[in-house]
Amino acid sequence: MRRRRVAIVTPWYGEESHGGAELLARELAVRLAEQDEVTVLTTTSRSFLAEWDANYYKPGKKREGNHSVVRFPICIRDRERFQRLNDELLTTPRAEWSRLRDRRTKTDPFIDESINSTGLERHLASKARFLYDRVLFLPYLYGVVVRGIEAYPGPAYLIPCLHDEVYARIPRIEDAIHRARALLFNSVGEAELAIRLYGPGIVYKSHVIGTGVAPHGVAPSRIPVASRYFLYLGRREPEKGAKFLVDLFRQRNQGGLSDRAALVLAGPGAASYDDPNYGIYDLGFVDEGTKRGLLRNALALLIPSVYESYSRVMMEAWLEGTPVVAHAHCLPTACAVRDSGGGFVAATTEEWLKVLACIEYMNSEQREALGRKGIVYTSEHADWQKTIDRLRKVFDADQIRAQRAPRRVDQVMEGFDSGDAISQQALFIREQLRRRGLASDIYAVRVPPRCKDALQLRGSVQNIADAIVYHHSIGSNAAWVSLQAPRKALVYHNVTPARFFAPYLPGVARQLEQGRAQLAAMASEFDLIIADSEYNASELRELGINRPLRTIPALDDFSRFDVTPNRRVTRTGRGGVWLFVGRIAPNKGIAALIDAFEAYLALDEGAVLFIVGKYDQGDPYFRELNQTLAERHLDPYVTFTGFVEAAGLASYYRTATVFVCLSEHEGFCVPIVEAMFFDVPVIAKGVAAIAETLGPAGILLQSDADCCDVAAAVYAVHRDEELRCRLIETQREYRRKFLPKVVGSLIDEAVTSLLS
Amino acid sequence: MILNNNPAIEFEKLAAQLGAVAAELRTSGAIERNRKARAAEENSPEAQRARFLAIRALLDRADDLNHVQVPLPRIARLPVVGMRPAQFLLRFFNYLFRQQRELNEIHTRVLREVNEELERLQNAIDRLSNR
Repeated sequence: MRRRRVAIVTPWYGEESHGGAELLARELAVRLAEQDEVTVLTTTSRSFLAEWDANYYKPGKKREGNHSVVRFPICIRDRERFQRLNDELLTTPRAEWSRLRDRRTKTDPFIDESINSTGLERHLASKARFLYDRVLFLPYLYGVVVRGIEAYPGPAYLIPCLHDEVYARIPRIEDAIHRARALLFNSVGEAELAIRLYGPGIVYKSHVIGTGVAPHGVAPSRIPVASRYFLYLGRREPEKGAKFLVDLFRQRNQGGLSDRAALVLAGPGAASYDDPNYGIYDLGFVDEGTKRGLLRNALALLIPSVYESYSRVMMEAWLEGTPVVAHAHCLPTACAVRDSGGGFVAATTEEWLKVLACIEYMNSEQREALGRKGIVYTSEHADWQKTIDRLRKVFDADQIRAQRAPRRVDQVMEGFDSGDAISQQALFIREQLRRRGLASDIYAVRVPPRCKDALQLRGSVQNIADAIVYHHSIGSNAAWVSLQAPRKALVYHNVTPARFFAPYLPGVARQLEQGRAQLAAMASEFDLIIADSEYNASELRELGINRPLRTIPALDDFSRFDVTPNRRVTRTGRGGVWLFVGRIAPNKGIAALIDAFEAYLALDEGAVLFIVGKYDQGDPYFRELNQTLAERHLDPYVTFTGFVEAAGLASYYRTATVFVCLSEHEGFCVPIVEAMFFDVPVIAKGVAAIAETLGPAGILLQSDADCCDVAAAVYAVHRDEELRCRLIETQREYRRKFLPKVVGSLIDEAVTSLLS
Repeated sequence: MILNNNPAIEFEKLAAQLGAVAAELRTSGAIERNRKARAAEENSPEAQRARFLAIRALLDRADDLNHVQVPLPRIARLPVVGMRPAQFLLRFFNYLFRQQRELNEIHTRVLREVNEELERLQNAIDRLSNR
């Protein structure tokens, strides 16, 4: 078998680069090179700590151990401009970080005046595609990587090593994140952080590969501390939380040391925090043996930093069987601690003091039990072989996709339209089918001209497909075509009750009635029925349909949101931004939404409402809504945006402070799930399938809630920060059941059942 | 008026709090007063700010619409016209309206800048009046 040619692009590479990402690049190069042909593409700069525009190494190709290193000369840069911008970014208050997304021109110099190499960019642009099978970039922060991804025309694999810091909001960096073919994360927490920063569009291409921690090669030395102690290991700098810990122990030991455990700090750093009066011992930089001894004998390792994408030292502590305390606001470390059970998390000073006291009063068996949980976790997440295997699996995914088998499963529907929930789900199902090696296409009665995703429905589809999946939401001739297939599944998206449309669009109402009649007549003919929700499933049961039935949410993989939001609609900071997403139709409760919004204006004069969805200028319902707006002088406050592309929709979700859905009938309601993924608190009326979709998250209103009730609920979400945070947290927890891999596996099971 | 679906929120407390705000809204006549105030003063700072946002949203939509048209017009479905002539027609019309698109783009850009300038002025006025 031919060795795969892998390139690793990184700004610094060599013995003198000691940063976490640089070490990761080195380890990856060495370990990947055991099976693949690895070339590291880097610059001639010495290290992160040296001048970024001074050529230290000679340019050119050189063999280093089992892999090659190609160095390119670095560009001249405007240091002062970069420094000015960097200082400004670092002093930007956290509350204003999100505004950076709209300041592209302002933040561009952070990339262009960073470390860059035009030679490397030229190489990536013109030669890399032919010289390498896979190109891996790391980490996310520097020009070499961001501009490298921009220059490289092939699929870029990015290991971001992402931190929750101001730089992660720079638009060019977000572009690179979206441009990458796959995102490879070091930890589950880092992947979660990326979703919070860049939205659900990246979920489909996110993979947690972990990273390895080699067991210590040296024996533990005798340690220079006699008493019981907590350990801080790492750079002794304020931004890493060292000062926070020192202050914490000063506060803790104010009333005298008695038998309280000490704090031992070890690691590089200029200043010393040594203060024996408060039980604080600063050992400075220590050798590997001492480090191991310190880790083994500590009560717990303390990691107060919130800027971590992965903590190597945490894994090292667990390898020694020592529990860990991490900062609750640092997702990568906190998630690892929570998932493993190998320690505790704490955020506030009080919580830290409580956790320290708790560990101090534990007996050694209890602490060892925590450490053992950590050991189990490291065996899975800090093992180099498993990391490399996972990375190779991602590399191989594209090749698997290219294979095709002769079996065919097609989908049939009445109308296909990009952005529409049913069409999006059909695309996701097609992708799942193709991944399984099945041939699959989508056919619709109504297809927009020049649409590449769906084909015009022909009478012969049923003859060539081994199975047909029919999507039902309205009366359609496509249903009869699907009935003739050898194996057939019905996806029931629910049929909107005709009474909503009867006063406005009698033609549509008739078609909906036909849809209901058609469902009752033909559903029993299908081999398998898939319902979007339990609500839909119960309707089918009530019809007396006795066929195998599965419930699969009508979702896609959110990949259409894998774009940098392009809109300029941003918050003015004056009031709440209400959002509703859905086509302008009578069942969507838009009149009630306008009533509720008007009531809310009495509480918050600066509020605005965006209603994002298709409308027809000639639709009597739409005209009626516009008339209401004019009569109540609400037109400046309420905007019907019409259909917007995914990049625009992502922007509206990011701008919104609340998502309000007063729809009267929904078979599932995809926008609620999208809002949950964009961390927008959801307030919805608990009718039809909405209660089920929202689950134990958001705020659910009674079906008879009036406009004042809705306004009061929205007001509470805006005024009560704690309530808002809780809503978002519960949404983050609940949305996991809608992740593409979860829905994808449900689709896989259904397809297996259909074909068997 | 709210359902107890979310275990992370204190249902009783929140329901009571929301009930009080809703009752106040219903009885105080604030909604009606507010509507009258909007009618009386269409150029209030709040209305202006909301208008700026609405204009931005509309300009975004205008940008979306002002692209080279790719979908074939419905006329292509007629057998007498056919796909190839329709494609040619589409290309021809795209070419014909090239300048119109440029003009549209300039219009939206200018409107956007004017809107932003007005927004800046509004903010300056707000700051001065708050001082």
